[in-house]
This record gives sequence, C-alpha cells and structure tokens, in this order.
Amino acid sequence: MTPDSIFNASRDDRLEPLVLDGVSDHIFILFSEHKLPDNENLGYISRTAHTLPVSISLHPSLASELASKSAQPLTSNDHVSTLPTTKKHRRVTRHSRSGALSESVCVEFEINQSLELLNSQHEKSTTGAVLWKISPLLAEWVLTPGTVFHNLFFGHRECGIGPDIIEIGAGISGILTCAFSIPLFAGDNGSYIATDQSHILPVLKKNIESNIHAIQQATAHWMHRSNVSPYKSITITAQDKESQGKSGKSKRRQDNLRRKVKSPDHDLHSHRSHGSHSRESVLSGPRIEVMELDWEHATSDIRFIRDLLWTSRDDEVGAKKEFDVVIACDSVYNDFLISPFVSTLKLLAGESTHILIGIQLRSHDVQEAFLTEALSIGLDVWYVLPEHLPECMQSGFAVYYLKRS
Amino acid sequence: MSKITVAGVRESVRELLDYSENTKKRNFLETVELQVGLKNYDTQRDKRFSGTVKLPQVPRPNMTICVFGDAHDVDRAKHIGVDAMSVEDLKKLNKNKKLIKKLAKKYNSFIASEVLIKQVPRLLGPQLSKAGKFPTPVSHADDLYGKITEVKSTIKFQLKKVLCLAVAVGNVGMDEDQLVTQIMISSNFLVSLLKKHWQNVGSLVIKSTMGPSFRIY
Repeated sequence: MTPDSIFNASRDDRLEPLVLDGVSDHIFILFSEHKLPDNENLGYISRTAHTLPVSISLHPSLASELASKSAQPLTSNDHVSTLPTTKKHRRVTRHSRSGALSESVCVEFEINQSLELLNSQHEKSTTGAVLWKISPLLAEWVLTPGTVFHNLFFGHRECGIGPDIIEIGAGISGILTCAFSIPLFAGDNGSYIATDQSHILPVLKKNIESNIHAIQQATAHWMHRSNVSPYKSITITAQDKESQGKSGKSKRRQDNLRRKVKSPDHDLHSHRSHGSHSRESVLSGPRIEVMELDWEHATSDIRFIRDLLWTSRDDEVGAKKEFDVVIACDSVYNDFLISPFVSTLKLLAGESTHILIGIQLRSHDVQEAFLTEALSIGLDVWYVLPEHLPECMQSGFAVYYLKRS
Repeated sequence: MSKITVAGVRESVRELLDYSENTKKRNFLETVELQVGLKNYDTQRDKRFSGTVKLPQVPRPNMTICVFGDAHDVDRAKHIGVDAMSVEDLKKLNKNKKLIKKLAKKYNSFIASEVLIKQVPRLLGPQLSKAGKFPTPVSHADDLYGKITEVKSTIKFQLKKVLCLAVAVGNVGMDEDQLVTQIMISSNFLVSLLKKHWQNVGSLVIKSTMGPSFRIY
C-alpha cells in the first residue's frame, strides 16, 4: 500500500491547492467571509482555570470502524467500507444512527494549565501554557470517520507499520496526543511524539499521563479487548536540554529512570541501554514520547528525535525514517517565528510525510507570510474548503495540508 | 475582574469633556481615542492579537464607508447616501495600483455584496488586504443601513510590531455616560485579547483629538 492510497490531496476535492500568486486572494476571502465573530478573545478557552475540563465526543461510526478492524484480519479495503458514504460531513451528531453504537461517546479530559508559567515574567515563551481553542475541535473532527484527514491517522495499519506522528508546538494540554493515541492502540504500533520547548514538557507529560486513560477506557472495548490487558505502559521521555554539553552530546532523562547522571560517559551508556530497552517496547506496541523540539534549534533537536525513534528499530522497518504525519495547532501567530516554524516543517517533511496545520484566524499578515514562506521553501500547500470543516470551525479557523514538493 | 473602575473613568471623562467644551472648543467634532501601552509582551514570541468589538454608539459618525455592490446593493447604498461602486466601476480601476491604493485610503471601511466578495480580490489585487481592510459581507436579506451602522460602531484592535496602539472609541459630542460605557467596553475587550490580561497593560490613556491626555490606568 502506497502513501498515496492513504491520502492524496491532489485527488481530494475537499482540498484546494494554493499557489504563490493565489495566497493574497485566499487570505482576502478568508478574512472577509470567515473571520471570527466579534467579542472573541485571543483564543484561549480559559486563562484562569488551573484545571480545565475539556470533552471530545467520539462519533459512533468510529466504534464500528475500530471494531470491524480488530475483528477481522486486515484487508486493504477494510477501512474504506466502513466510511460513511455521504459527501457532506457535519459536526458530530449526537444521535446519529450508524454502526454498532447509536450515540457518540463523550470523553472527558481534565487539563492542568500552567498558570504560574503563563503569568510569569519568563524569558521563554509562555504561549504553550494554556490550551488554545482549536486543538480539541480539530481532534474531534479528525477522529470522526469520513472526514478529510481521518485516514491519515487510521489508514496506515494496512502498511503494517506506523503511523508515526509528531506534533510540534504541542503546549501543555496533550489533548492531541490523547486523541491520536487511538489509532496507535488500535494498530498496536506506531508512535506519537509530542514536542515543545523544554520548559513546557513537564506539564505536558503530566497531562498526557492523567488523561490518556480516559480515552483508552472509552475505546478499548470497541476493539474487543475487554478481556485482554490491552495497553502497555507508555514511554514518556524528555530530553534534558539544559544539561546538554557544548559538544551537542545529548543527554536524556527517562521518566521512570532515576535522576540524570553526571559523567558524560555514563550518560551515553545509559542512553544506549535505554535504546535497547525501548527497542523492546517499540517492537511490542505503541509508543508515546514527550520531547523537546525548539523551532529555533530544529536541526539538532530533530536529529535527536530521529535517532531515538529509528535507530532502535532500523532492522524492523527497513528504510523508513520519516514521520507519517506532522501536526501543529495554533502555532502560526507571530511573524518572527514563521521562518523557524516553516524550516522545522521542511526538516520533518519526507517523501510521504503529511503535514496538518490548524490555525485560528488572527492576524492576516502573519498568516499570509506563513503561506508564502511555506510555498517558497518547497512545500506544497492545500487548504480545506470551509464547507468541509465542521460547523464549529467554519469561521475563525483554517486548516492547511502541506507536503514536500 | 476589571482593574479600572467606572468612577475613575468617569472622572477622567468629565475632565476631558470639560476641556474640549469649555477650555478650548474646536470647530469640528473631536474624536476620543483610547491609547494603549503594553508591557510584558514579547513581540517576537507572543500571539499577535486582533479582534473586533461592537460598541453601543458609533465612535466616529463621519467615518467613511464604500459599498462594493451588485445592482441591487448599489441602489440601496445610493438611497441611503453612502458611496457605492459596482463591478463595472471596479473594473474601470483597471488594477491600477495607485488608484486602488487611493481607494483603500479614502474609505475607513468597506462593505461588499455577498455574491461579489470572491471577485473583489481579482478586481483589486492585494491592496485592500495590505491595508487590512477586508470588506464586511452583506446579503440582500440584510438591512444595509443597519449593516453600515454596525460596521461604523465596530472597533478593531490589532497589534502591529510596536507595543502601543490607539483606537477611536467615541467623540466629544457624546454625553458622559455614553463615553464612559464606550471606554469600559473597549478596555475590557482589549484586555481579553491579552494572554496575561491586566499584567500586559502598561497604561491606558484617553485623549480627545486636540486635548490633553488623561491616564485611566
């Protein structure tokens, strides 16, 4: 199965390609017709709640999709037959009748927001300290079978490997990690690497740990796994950048392991030994990691991530050394960061990497600059026609799909 | 929780109005501006904000508006006494950059018939976008006069690359109560656009066009 059969933007009429000359027209129409209504705040859900309840509802057809996949051996047409045949995809209807379930299931999360960081005079960015509106909306949409990008996450299992997903600018919430752990667990392999700047990672890790069970509980029995213990513990590792030597030698701290060790030699050793440890976990199931990826030091950070992820399973997957999906939500918001952000995308974009970018409409010139930069640097860009977004995302948001030219 | 009080703002408004009515009356309608100084805001890291809010009163009654209309809307606009341009008129600009730039400068805001919006960028090129003047769509079912009032009473906060911005929130023809309300709504909305709310606000100042400034925060 080729990546094209999972998703091909050129053949999908729900997407419209963008060319350099067309960017300003696109922005014009977007900001005239689909801008946010009045009285919108900056885009945070709450900036005063320490714990923020967020829910994602899972469409009933997801249950039948997962169930049918695990009940039968994988056949290549399996996922196609379970997709709804309707062309128009509306927001999750709570009482729609399709599949085994008749109602959508609401998964409740409790996100710990880092208000201390938000309100600090931190030198580093504080943007990731709260949850931004688009993330749960996008997660719910993509999880719904039949929507534009659903197959990017759920169509990979026929390949036998992946999906390997990396999120950049994840922020503290971990909500996308939890949501897209479903395809990992359903396929019993693949990886989700949630990345951000190092000071964001501890809270991100905590949020994933405390919320991932909610989504597991909701979906486990759909995959007929009630009698097996389906989920292995999740590996969460954080690269400890601050202790990194000038030589660029990466040290890392693993979640369950003890404190970082002082001697560089020893560290390297513990890294290596971790490599073999994680090899087992990779081969035996899905993998979730929290790692540092600072867009302004993308080259070295990405090298580290790649090494960690693929060195250990080289022989297993052969030449595959690229991510299947790169995802980023509300991470285009300041013109200074556009260039590092787009370069990061370019570095992550392999032959068959799909890039998914969700944006809240805020500043037209920042958004225009992002699209122009992406197109100029050698990425192809498509936008999702607003009528194919869920109703709640039709004004005020835009979703782009990018791919290496 | 608001950091500015109605009583405090009222005090400043009273002085502002007193100055422009009694101390130095001008023979035009002075605009009242809210000037904002931000702090703890990293222009290179933080989310560039932009947002609009509708105020109860039109801050600048003589704000200029142009309607890009189909035949029906051009008629309606002319009837109300608002400038209007048809597709033919726009075509006559012949994509001439200078003329279009002039048009973008001449009007504070634009309204366009819903059916025409997609054609506008093709007819006018990127000049309107560059000025950030995206037209508000109007349908035949909408009341055009109402739409115009709505556009006129809507103010926009948009941060550029500097840490200060100013927005017209009223005029000296308004009475004290009206002006206080306009200022309270604007300030509180602005704060909601800031990630750290009041911690991002360095100063809030109100000022009439020719008068002195009064600091309200």
